[in-house]
Amino acid sequence: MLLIGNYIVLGFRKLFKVMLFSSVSQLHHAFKSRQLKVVDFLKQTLAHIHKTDAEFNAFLSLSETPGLMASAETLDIAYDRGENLPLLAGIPIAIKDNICIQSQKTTCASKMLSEFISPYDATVIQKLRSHHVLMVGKTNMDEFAMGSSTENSAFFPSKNPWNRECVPGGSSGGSAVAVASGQSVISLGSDTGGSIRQPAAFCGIVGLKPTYGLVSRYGLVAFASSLDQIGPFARTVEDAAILLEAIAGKDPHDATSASYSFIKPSFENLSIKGLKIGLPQELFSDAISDDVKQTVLTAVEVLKSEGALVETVSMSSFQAALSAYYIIAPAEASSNLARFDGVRYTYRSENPETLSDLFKKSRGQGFGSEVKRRIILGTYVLSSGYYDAYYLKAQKLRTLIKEDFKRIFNTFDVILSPTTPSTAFKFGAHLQNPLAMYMADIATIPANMAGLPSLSIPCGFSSEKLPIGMQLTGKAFDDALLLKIGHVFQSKTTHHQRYPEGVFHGV
Amino acid sequence: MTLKEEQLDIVLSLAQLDISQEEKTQYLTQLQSILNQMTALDQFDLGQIPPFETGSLTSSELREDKVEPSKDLMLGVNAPHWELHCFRVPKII
Amino acid sequence: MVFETVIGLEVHAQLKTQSKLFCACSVAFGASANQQVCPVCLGLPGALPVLNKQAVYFGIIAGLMLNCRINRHSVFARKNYFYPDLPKGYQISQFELPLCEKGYLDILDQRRIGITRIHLEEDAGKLNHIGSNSIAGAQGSLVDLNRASTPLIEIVSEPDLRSGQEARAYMELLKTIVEHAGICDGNLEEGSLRADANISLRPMGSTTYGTRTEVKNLNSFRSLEMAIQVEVERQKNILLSGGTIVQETRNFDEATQSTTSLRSKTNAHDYRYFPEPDLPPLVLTEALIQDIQNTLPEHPQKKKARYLNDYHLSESDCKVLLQDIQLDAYFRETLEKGAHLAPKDICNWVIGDLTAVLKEAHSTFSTTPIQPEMLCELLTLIHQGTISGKMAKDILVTMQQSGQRPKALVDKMGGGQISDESELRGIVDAILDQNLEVVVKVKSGKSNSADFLIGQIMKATKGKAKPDLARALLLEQIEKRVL
Repeated sequence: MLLIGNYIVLGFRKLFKVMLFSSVSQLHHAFKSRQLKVVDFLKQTLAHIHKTDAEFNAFLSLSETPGLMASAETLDIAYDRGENLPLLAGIPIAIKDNICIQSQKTTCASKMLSEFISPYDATVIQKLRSHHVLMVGKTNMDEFAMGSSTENSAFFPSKNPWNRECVPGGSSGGSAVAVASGQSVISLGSDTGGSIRQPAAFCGIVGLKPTYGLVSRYGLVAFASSLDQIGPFARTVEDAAILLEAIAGKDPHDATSASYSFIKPSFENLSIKGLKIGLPQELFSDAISDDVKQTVLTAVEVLKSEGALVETVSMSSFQAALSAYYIIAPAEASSNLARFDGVRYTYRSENPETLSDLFKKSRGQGFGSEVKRRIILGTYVLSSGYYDAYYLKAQKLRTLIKEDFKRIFNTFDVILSPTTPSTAFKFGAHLQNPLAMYMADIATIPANMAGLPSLSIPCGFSSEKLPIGMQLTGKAFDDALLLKIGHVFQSKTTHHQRYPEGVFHGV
Repeated sequence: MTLKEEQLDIVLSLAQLDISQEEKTQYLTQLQSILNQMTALDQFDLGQIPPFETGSLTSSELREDKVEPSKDLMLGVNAPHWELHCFRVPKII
Repeated sequence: MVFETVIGLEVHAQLKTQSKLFCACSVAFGASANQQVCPVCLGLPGALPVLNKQAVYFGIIAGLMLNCRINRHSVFARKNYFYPDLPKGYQISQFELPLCEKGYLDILDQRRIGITRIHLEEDAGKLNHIGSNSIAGAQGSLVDLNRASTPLIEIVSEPDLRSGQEARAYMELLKTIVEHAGICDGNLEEGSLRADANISLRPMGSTTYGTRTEVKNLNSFRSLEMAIQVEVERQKNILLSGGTIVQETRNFDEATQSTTSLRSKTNAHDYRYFPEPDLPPLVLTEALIQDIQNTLPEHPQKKKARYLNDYHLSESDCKVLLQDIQLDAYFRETLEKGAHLAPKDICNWVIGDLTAVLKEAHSTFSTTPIQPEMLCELLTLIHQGTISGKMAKDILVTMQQSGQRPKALVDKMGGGQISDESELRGIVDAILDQNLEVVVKVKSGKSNSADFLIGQIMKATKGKAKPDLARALLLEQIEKRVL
């Protein structure tokens, strides 16, 4: 019998499985006490990835290099010496493939960048290096972060570990799958309209979109600059908090990064007595499936039993949030993606005769259809004659959304809703109808529009045994509060401790 | 607002995108249905509301005018056509 | 039908910062291709702009010196279009809320030219065409992004200019101002100052504007003036024959002295401006504006007034001094060191003899060994009567060649000019004795002969005879002779 953290383990096989689903603290403790070697855990992680990823396709590339192994060995020597290492030292992490890592491919799951090797590190990567994490690979995503299912990847879709006929969500599908299937302990994704929270909900894990400006965007391939944020995936809220602390902070390379830092709050003796929670009626409408609604309301009862005060509220601006988002995001994207022109580092069409040829064919061939659709939409709403009717209007509605939140936060501490209108849908369910796909984001979009922090926590399962997520949104820079509430919830529930059984079978 | 093919052609030219006729027809229909949704915005009185300004949460901290030496940026590695340490493009006219 | 010419100028000035507008790459001239680049100015995926403080200050200085209102709150915007020298596929500029607005510049004789706005924006890279000097006929192009993201200010005038001559005067004054402000090199030929002219015609007396064309490639003051003349002629001929002007961009060709169509300014260039989401609004404090106002360099127009009224310099003196910032600096430094000297004298020497000496020696005001205080010393020697003006000119040449001080050179020559009357009288007498027949000629009225005798005196004294004294003594001594 071996003791690792809270787990009493019988035999090696079970030990192996359990270890892959350990938390950061548990692993750190195991490394520190030398019950576990960094190198061994890395090897097991990589072995598990090899076994499972032929099926799940979470990763686009693996960093299985001598350098990685050498880093692990160096950490073991340091642990042997009893050196004081950061919590994250030696922890394997997966990184969404729109975050630049120096000398590695950053493809954004697009043909346009399929051979692009980034010459520089994103700021978050530099920060992670100083914490000695082990970056094991780049994960699959919807092309250029545009999508809600990872079906828009130019390479292949990723599969939901809970049900392989279902999507894992998107656009950070691969990062969610990696954590949900035990391939990595933690991962990084990006969220523009829900791209961390929605796959977190679909895959039964924790996903956080931090307050806009809390985490640097330098090195994140831009989709919609005023909406994008990098954020953590983890199985526990505490791990998400640890990862957030490592990556947050003002960056002189990002003029939109805020002068706020994030310190992981203490999770000891937390109480949510008197916490005021608002439930926006617009996000409990008929657009949300009954299964999801019921499960979330049941979860709310848990918070109530811990002393939270819950009330329904109305946030009328939410009714148009989706429309405004699908004007602003494509508009900014159409401009951000103009740099992909076949000249300096992208896919280039064969033998272009003229410059016009070069631009039009490279872009026509290099981009997938969802990306082209959004570029066209974005270009249209910015064009002469349409700017006022669309873009300007949408930015005005955005102010209204911000005001709506402000008004609610005068009385309430957080807003709670389902993260998604449904559980993970089947592959191909929405591919013919882009609008239907866009509807997947109705609950997640408002937080991006207002720049507010938003957390998705697993709160139950549907009758089809698919995970359901509950979303907490808070005031600007109140990320710590959301994590504290999440931790209280997880200390009273066990949803987050379940892992997809199928992960170890038949692979 | 009905989206016509001529408008789509202008947009494709502005966005420098070459697509097939099939894709054009498909996009026209899809974009039309997306644009139709935008009427949701009209139910709000937006006249006097100021448009959202990004980065208004952050202070405008400016950069000191100091030079940092350039690093190796793997330009030749990533460039589709690298000649005489420049990016080569085909004739413009 | 009498037409009125309506001209507006859009001028781009490259700012003299150390680093680029949005990144820390150097803007120094002359680096080999694609060496002064980084992820930001290359437009690599994930890169973000961060605004250069000094560029903002320079923009404010320009605004203050051009009598503009400085907007305490201004916003950056993206100007979207595709071109190989534009790495991001958009230029970060300013659109609805620029840094400065509503200024003016007084040119020529109290002609006030309005300045609509001044805004900050980044420059594009450079294209080197293969197999041709221009785009037409080239097999391809090589893109060099060293210049990409260099800081620029764009100064847009109201359409208040009425002729090529006025436009030239406006440009010349603008150049002087940005040079004096220390914010720009102001060199049209090298491209640190660039001008595009918007030209239209309308019937005299009309208040509506005609269709305008934009004329580019004006890389000297001369071509600016000429291009306008040529374009006005062209438009006039079209209108007089009943035609209409096409709104388009035209290129000025110096060789053929004509403008040719480049492209139509139509919807093809819908720039889809929207506020730059990667940059917060630029918010300026009152304290900052006041600080900059307090440390503004002297306005060239004020300087000119001072030169005219206090130093009694001429209009043409002022023109030269204000157009050449190095010359002007040299003049002022010499003036500082020589308060006992007349500014006009210093000015004459600097603009005249010293400039000529430098030109001959392929030297400049900044590289010459003749320091201002050395010039001052030379002029003081003239002022004291130790040497003559003619002697000083020769000494100046030697000073340039050897770098030696004037006093040392005078000593080497064996002293300054001979101004001792009795000594000089003696020499004059000796010359007269040797040239008696010339004395006769002088006495009979041939003044040229006197010059010959002066020449002989100078020869004998190795040029050191004080000229006016020598002449006076010569005439005196001739008078004394009875012959």
